Amino acid sequence: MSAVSPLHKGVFFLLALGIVLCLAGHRYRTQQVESQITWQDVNIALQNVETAKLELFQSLNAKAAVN
Amino acid sequence: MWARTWRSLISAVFLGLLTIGQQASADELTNQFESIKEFLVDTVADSQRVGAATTYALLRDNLAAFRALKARVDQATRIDDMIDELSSELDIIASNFEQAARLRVDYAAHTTQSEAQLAGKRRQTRDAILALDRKVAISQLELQQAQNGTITDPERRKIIISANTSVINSLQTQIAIWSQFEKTQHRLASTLQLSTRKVDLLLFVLEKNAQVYREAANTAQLRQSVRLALNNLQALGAIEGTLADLAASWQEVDQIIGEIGRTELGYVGS
Repeated sequence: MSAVSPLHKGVFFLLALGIVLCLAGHRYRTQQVESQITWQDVNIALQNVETAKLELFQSLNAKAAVN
Repeated sequence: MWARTWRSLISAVFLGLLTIGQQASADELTNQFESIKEFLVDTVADSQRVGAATTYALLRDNLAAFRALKARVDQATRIDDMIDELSSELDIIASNFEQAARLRVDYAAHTTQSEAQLAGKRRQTRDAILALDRKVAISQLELQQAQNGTITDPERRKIIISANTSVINSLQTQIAIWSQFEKTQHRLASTLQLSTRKVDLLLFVLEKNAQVYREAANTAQLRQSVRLALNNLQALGAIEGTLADLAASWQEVDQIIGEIGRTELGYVGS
């Protein structure tokens, strides 16, 4: 059984470091976003959903009129 | 000569102790005032944010799904050809609404806890006012005793009158600030309650949306007609008023928090 070479060790270390940094970055971004979004933003998002829903109905009605 | 020096020394020590006592007590109250202020700001910030990011992300997904459906409808030659796509998109939309609606219970629990904590802070504020009232009473008693001539030494009497007058003025200023603070907290509690109810109403709308979209998705799964599946969704159109109210109520909460942030506890003569 061959021993793990220093090169492999280095690659594994860098890979592990990269994963840890990615996870930490993701967590940081999530926390930043969570700290910024308020219920007023949710309110606006719901208004946009309602508008998108109405636009969908308009398209459906227009298509139905053509068909 | 020695007697006069001793009198002056004792008077200086008395005045010094009175000032140190007032200062120590004032520092304690200042810390308490700042701690309550900080708590109020944090509680409002939490109430404005708890669960919001998750709900926001789910609604953004639904927005994307609606836009994708519209684009598909615009491109389709026969809308019934897209029934499969509609079925899967409605399923996603319903799931997102259901997931968002589940946050209603957590938000209600958070609101109940915040309201209890805010009530606790108001009690602390009232206790601080009572403690200051007691101090005023003690100083007034000393002042009256000095004014009534109970203290025979004129120099000492003069110092006691001057020190207690100053202390009473300072305490009354503090009482005025704490009382105003208590009134602002009362206003904040009722406005925050109104705003959190609006959030609950919004989550209730999402809960009802979830039920309606789930049934629409079930209809779409029958693979008959796109219009048949979407027809009942139009019933939930009139929620604009609710949404406008929510924004206005939170603006009022922000305004009160701004007032609280600007309030400072100034100690006159301590």
